[in-house]
Amino acid sequence: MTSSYAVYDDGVLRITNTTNPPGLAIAGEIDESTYPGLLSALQRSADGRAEIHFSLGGLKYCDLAGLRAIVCATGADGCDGSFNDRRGRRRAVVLHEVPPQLITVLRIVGWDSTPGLTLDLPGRVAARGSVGNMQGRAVV
Amino acid sequence: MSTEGAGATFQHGVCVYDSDRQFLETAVPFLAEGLALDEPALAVTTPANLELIGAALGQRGGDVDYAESAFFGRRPPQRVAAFYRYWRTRGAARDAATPGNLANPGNRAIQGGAARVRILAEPVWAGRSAREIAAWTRMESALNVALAATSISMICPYDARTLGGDIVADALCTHPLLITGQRSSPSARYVDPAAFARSRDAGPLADPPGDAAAFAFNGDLRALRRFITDRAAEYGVAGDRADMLVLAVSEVGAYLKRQPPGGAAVRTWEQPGAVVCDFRQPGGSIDDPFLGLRPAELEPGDGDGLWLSNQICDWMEIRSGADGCAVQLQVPSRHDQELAAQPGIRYPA
Repeated sequence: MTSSYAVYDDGVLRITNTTNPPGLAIAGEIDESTYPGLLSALQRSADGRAEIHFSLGGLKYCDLAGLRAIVCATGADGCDGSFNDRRGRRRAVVLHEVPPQLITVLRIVGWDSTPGLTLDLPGRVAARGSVGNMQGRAVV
Repeated sequence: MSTEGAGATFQHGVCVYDSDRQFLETAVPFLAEGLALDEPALAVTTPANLELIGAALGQRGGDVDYAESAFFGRRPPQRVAAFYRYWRTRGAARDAATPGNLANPGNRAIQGGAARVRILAEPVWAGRSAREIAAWTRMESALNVALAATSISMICPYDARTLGGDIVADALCTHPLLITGQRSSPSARYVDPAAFARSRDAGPLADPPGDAAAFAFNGDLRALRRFITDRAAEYGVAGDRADMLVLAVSEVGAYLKRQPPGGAAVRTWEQPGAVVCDFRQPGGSIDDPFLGLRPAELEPGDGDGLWLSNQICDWMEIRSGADGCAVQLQVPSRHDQELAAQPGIRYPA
């Protein structure tokens, strides 16, 4: 995953654009103090895209509201609509390098099965209908 | 219990039985009718009762989802979540598979609109402490609120042969419906869940020991997380467990920060079986007796963060009184061996 420039950096949360695949690398800590920065970066990055990739390997902390914002980039039912595509389409969101505790939280709250959301977990066999062109990577 | 025309309402009945025959007279028609109507049906009960149901249903029984009670929600908050998860996944799957379902084109997940599911849910009471019995009893009442928006039909069998009279008497107050055989009638002793919670308001929380570690939380969540991270290391709580403790504590901090007067005195200590984190907020007030019990959704709701903390912790108790409010949570100490013996036992795998 190649990244270019920071789209947000307040010293606690650092978000950079990635180009291959297109999306964001999100690193640092997400709580209410960094949430507005996260939200605007997610919205700008997702706008006009049918598929977006978030790399979370550098995420040290993410509260439930932050995780909800990331999941809601899919525009799934129940989300508040701030990510909805202008034509009302939903969006494929692929999460890479997801920290173990975030996988646990996604499963506890049940958001791992959100339509459009894919977790790129190492060592899993690719599921039918998975998105992205992740050659050599397992996508479930 | 007939579920026809019930719409999106939670139905919650108690069946007090004193023989295997009586148990089966309610359990078998309830589950079999669900299968006949193509409603997902789940039996959560004792191993002995699961065997009885299997033998009585024969070949049909293969379509009944099942779980041993002890392994379907370790604590009351996880039990509520397990019921909710079953409804969201199995009810939604069934709804999506229904041909010509115009409400769900394209097989999308259901948000608050899954099809009706049936759950036979017998809690485990044997061997529980008084504190645990009180918590499970409060949960039976709180289910009527926490699951109100679901289309779950639930019957809770209570075995009068083994249970104390108090437990059975409380069951009549916590379930709006009485089930006898296949008949359902209103429970005359049913108590409104908020009134029930107030009537069972537990006593004050244990005071922190004198040598507890203290931290003055002034709203700086990162500082709170640094404090609890250091404390976890001190107590030997490491890896994923430490990360989850930090998450639980930070979500409680975020909730208390948002409500006046904000901030709290935080103390931590270790006791047999637990690492404890205690928040005291003088002047604060928490009125909602069901805070942290309503399952979190993609649509934000009040107390979602506390719901997550409740899922992570072994215990989370909330108190509110004239002096202010308090939240006390517990996670397993480093001496806990359950996780080592059976990874994934505490969280969904």
